Amino acid sequence: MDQVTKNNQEKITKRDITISWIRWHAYAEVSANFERLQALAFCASMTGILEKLYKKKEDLSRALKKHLTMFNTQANWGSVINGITIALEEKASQETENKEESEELITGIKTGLMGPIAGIGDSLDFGTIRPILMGISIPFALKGSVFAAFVPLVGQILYMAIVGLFMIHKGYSTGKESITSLLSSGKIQQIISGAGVLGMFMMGALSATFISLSTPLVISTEGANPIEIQSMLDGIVPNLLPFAVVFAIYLYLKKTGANYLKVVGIVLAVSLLGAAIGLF
Amino acid sequence: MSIIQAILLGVIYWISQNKVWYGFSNMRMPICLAPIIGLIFGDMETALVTGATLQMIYIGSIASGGNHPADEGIAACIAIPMAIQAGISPEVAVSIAVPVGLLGTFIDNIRKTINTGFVHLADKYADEGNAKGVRRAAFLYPLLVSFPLRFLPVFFASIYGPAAVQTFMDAVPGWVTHGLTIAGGILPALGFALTMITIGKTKYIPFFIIGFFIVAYSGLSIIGVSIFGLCIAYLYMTSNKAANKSQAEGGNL
Repeated sequence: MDQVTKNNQEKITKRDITISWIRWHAYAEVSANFERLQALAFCASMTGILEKLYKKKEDLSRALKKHLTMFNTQANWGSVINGITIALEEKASQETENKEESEELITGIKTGLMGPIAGIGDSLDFGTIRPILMGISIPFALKGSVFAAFVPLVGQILYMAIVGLFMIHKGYSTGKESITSLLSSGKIQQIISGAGVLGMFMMGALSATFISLSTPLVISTEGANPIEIQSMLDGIVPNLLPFAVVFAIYLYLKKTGANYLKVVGIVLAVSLLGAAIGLF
Repeated sequence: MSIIQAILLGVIYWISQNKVWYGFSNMRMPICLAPIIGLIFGDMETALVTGATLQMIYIGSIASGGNHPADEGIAACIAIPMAIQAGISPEVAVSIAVPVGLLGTFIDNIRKTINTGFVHLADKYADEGNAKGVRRAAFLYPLLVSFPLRFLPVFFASIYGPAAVQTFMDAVPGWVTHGLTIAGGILPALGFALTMITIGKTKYIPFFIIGFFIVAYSGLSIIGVSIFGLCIAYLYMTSNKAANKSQAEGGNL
């Protein structure tokens, strides 16, 4: 393509795409709102691109409005949607006919991808990678390591910069075909299943390390040594009470949905009651 | 607590929760706030222990659809200074801070309601073809609005909180303190259970049990147990390759 096409349009460079990612990554949740969620952040991240593509004020206005419709995804892996949108906008801006159709296509692809991508991003980033980073840092932080306390933050900043930048450029260079084939190739599913297994395993290991609960109960029998309930439990299986607690909470959450408030209330009530009657 | 410490704490909370730069959003996690709060209050050890203890509760805290179940940032800004200044144990400080963290979600709801106004402002700018205006509505204005929303609650809580908590702790009988300590030991289970819910697959439960009892029986360190975990996950992935492939071909996402 020539540097300047007949529409007086400038070429989209790698730098433009990187700037678009920087804006997206910086803005994503800042303007989060109940009405259109991340729409404003998405539109703002596209501004540089749209200004280059649409030189006429009315065209620019139309394009900006198009990207102010409801949008919500996981902002890290979601960068791929920004990349695809840039590629599609570039193509659409060169068309003189079928303008409405190409606009509908862009909105359709955005809304179609945002859900699945959010699912992948949430379960990988917040369901697995962050808990594991935290899980490794917590024991060292408990021992007083300042360095360990910074590991989750620095780790996440670096990880997200790598994934986000890669995804937006990948999305631009290969367009929507690549992402649909990637989503259905099973590769992503395989990574998610491996991450899920590791996450589950680490949650077990952390539960055994950090949940503490024991009982001082003693059964006193006449003429014999009193039986300590806790050492009896330890004789059967170690950490039985913490195991029971984490599973009880898991089953409760699974049954009632993630009701944080209720669980906190129940835990506080049971702990206070247990302390009052000498159970714990 | 001095006014300067309260101001610093309020500013730190705002920085950690203003959402600028997505990768930086971990800043609001208690373990990341702990060293900074420790520096402000001059007690790194207590800060780290309290922050790490609190962190376990929020390890699985995930904002699905952008809605946070709790505000771990405000919980950290309440619990850590409290543990340092009121001299209460990390477990008790955590038990007191967690309900505050739940109240903290209101702040985010107010923010998202106000931000709705900026979307309408952006609509207007878009009409005019004003790209700079759209960027201002997406970044500068929400950022300015979030400052008082984040700063003021933590500022006032820091000034009046520790004294109130100390009065409370002096007044209550021993079993209440003991009960709060117990709750502090149990609450991490909520964090781990939530992560299990997020991972979402019931068929992975055996891996949880394996991880739990490897540690329960051997007392292996977390690094040691990670090595086993990585190998198990790898074996699972590779042995499931075929199954995943056929599933994908069936059209399941």
